[in-house]
Amino acid sequence: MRSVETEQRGILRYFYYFVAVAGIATTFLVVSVYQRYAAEAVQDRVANFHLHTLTQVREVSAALAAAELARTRLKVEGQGGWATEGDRLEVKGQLSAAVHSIDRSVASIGRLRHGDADEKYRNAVRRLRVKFDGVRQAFEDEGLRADYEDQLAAFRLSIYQLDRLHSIDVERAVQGLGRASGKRTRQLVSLASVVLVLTVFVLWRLFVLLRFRLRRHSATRKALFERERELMQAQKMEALGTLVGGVAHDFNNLLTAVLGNVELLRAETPEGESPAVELTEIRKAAERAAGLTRQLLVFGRKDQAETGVVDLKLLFLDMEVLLRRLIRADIELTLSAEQDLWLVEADRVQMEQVLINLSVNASDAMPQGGDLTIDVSNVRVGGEAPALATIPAGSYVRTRVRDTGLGMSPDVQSRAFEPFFTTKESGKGTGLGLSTVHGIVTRNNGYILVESASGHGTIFDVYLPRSDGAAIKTGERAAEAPRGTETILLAEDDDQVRALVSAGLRSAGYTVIDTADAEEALEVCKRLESPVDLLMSDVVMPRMRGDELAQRVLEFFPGIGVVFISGYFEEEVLERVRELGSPLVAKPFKMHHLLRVVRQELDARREFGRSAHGM
Amino acid sequence: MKRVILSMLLCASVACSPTGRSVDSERTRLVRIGVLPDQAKEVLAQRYAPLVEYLAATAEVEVQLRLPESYEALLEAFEERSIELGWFGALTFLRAERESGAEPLVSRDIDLSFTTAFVTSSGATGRSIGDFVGRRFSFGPRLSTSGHLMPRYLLYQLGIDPETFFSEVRYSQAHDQTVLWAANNEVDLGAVNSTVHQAMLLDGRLEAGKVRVVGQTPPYTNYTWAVQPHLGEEVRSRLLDAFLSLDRTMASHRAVLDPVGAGGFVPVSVADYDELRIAANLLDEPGR
Repeated sequence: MRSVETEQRGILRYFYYFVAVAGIATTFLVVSVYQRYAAEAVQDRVANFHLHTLTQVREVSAALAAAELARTRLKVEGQGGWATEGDRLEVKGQLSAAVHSIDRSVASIGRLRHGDADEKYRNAVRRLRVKFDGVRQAFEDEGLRADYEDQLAAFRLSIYQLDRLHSIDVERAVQGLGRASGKRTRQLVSLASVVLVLTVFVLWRLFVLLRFRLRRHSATRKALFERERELMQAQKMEALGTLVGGVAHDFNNLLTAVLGNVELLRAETPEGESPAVELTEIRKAAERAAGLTRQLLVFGRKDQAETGVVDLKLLFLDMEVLLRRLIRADIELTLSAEQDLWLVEADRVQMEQVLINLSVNASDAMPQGGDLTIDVSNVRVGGEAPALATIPAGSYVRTRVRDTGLGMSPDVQSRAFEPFFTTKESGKGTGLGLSTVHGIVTRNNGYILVESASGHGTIFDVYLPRSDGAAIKTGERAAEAPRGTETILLAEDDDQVRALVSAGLRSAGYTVIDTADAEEALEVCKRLESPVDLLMSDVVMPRMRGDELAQRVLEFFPGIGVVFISGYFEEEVLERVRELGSPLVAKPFKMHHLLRVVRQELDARREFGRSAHGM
Repeated sequence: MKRVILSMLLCASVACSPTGRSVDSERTRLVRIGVLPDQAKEVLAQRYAPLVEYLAATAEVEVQLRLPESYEALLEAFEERSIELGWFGALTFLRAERESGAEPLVSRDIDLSFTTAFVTSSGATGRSIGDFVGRRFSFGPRLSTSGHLMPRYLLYQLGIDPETFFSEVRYSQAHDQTVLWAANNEVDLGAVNSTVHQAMLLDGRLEAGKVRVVGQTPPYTNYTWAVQPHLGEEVRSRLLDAFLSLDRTMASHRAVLDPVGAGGFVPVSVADYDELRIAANLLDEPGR
């Protein structure tokens, strides 16, 4: 991208070009005006000096011819005798008139001045006058003088000299004016050529600059359009996330009720008797539904990760049927796992999400069908392999998802994990699949690598650190739930959940005071003569949130335990709960898990109280 | 960038600047005169000595006379600027004008109406030029206007190609030689400067009735005094004025005018040689 400074220098250069053009044009103009003025001066001199003098000179010549004719007549006819005295006097008069005319014209020529007329003219006029003085006497003597012919020839010569001096100068002036005119024309043509060339050049440069700016403007508009589109997409996803979060919250309450009640019934039903099998199936279905809800929350980024020790081999093998439904029939799925696969620390649901997203992505990359291979194996990263240079040395469980699809160009590969980046048609991809995978893997302290080439398929490798803990197996029956005899104040706006929780707590030996919201709970607190041992409250309730209620109740009964239950995981809500330092149980929960948390909180408070008293 | 602009402005100002006549010789006070070697050196030295003396006195400059060996030598001297003022025939002037920028100053009164005569011996039978077909012919010097260019131009206008029309075409070294060849029947027809012919009759070098004229060219401008283009305006003006001031009514001036065969001098310009220029171009003669 061209810098602003470069552009400014470019503009300054065009300014210089314009200055040059203007300078040349001005110079030509000034010189042209000067030449025009000089030409006018020459024209004036020709008209008022040369031509005027020439007119007088020609008159002198004509008068001289008349005088010579008269003189000849006087000479010839005088010898032969005049018919009458009148004739002689007439010719004599003609001679006098001619001489007078010459005299007048010569005097007129002598008076003609034009500026600082050359000395050659003054000398020529002086010679004319001198020679005329010589012939005037000869004329008056009627040709009796002996040197008459020489005088006359000298006078004629002086007239001729003056005539030629002026004629030659007129001729030179006319030629000079013609040359000057021609020169001016050539100069104008030269000027026009220079100005034209420079103007064309400057216009071309401006055109290039304009084209560059238009292209940049177009690119900026395109980028802006892209950003707007991404923003709209993000807003749409945000709205969808909010919607999903809200739905999941309500759905969690329902599932909490279902699972809780099933658990209660299951606890009361001896193993192997009817309807124990059915209840187990109901519980599995409800747990699957709870898993789906969690996936929705992951999608909406409102999940509360439940990290635990996971056996990816069991997890992925359980998903095989689901994956086969997700991908198309023309894709051959092969799922394999190392026999003694290490365990990892991860959120089960999120890992399911990772595999689903990678599989769907691979399926989309194989529009003509192909092979999708999922392989889970143990790897030790020593840092010697170039591709693993970004992964710290250690033991990992690697999940490799390989497809034989279109592959990715280096450019696409570098942006594969960017949110909202998708190569799919508009409306067919959210651009969130791989970014969600990346987010999950990173949050679970893992790494994800991609290896691909256009037309040669893609390999995604997910590395999760090996865990030393023991895995909680799917379907594993929970340990015996802990019991107690303390009094618990329960605040839950959902009737089903409240009834389930209340029943579960009572069945574990606790005394439970049910309230439908925060206000009712506070009313109970006012009426109670002895304090409760623990407040169990939903976080999101109408009129007053659970955390606010907890603060108010603690004013009545300082030091009691607090447990929150919630199916809604807004970051803001979680933050407030964390500030109170109380445990939060996510809906839907299993009753024995809730009872264990309750027991831990009551025991912790008791310990705290003892140590406080001991102080 | 600034240098480029300055260069452009400089070019523009140079392109527009008016050209003026050089004034470097304004300081010149020495005027060297070269004359056409159409006569023997002794004759020429004697002929021009009064003029040299007159010009020095009237124009107030130092004048030196240079006598070149040939027409070519005169042109070379002018081109090398070893003479400031030259006496040229029309053809040599055209070459000097073309090669050195010579500028005509004055001509004799008779030079503006010069003619060339075609002469033959009085005993020859031809009455006009056309009657001399297949006979021997001689021009004057090859670089002479009156002896070569203008008679050839007349022949061209008459439709005569001398090299095919005549049995032999010669070039003499001088006009008087041409006249003598015709008089002595060494050629049957000769083209000669009319004034030389007249002068030979007057000074007795040619016996009256020895030759007769069978044709003559129309008048044309011939000899001229021309100056170097760089000659300063002041000196140029003084020389012009000196020439124009020569007056036959004064005995001292007649002593100057008579040897050079002039009644007086008149100003001339390049336009006076237009007709000759056309002839020279047309015939592609050396004078071009």
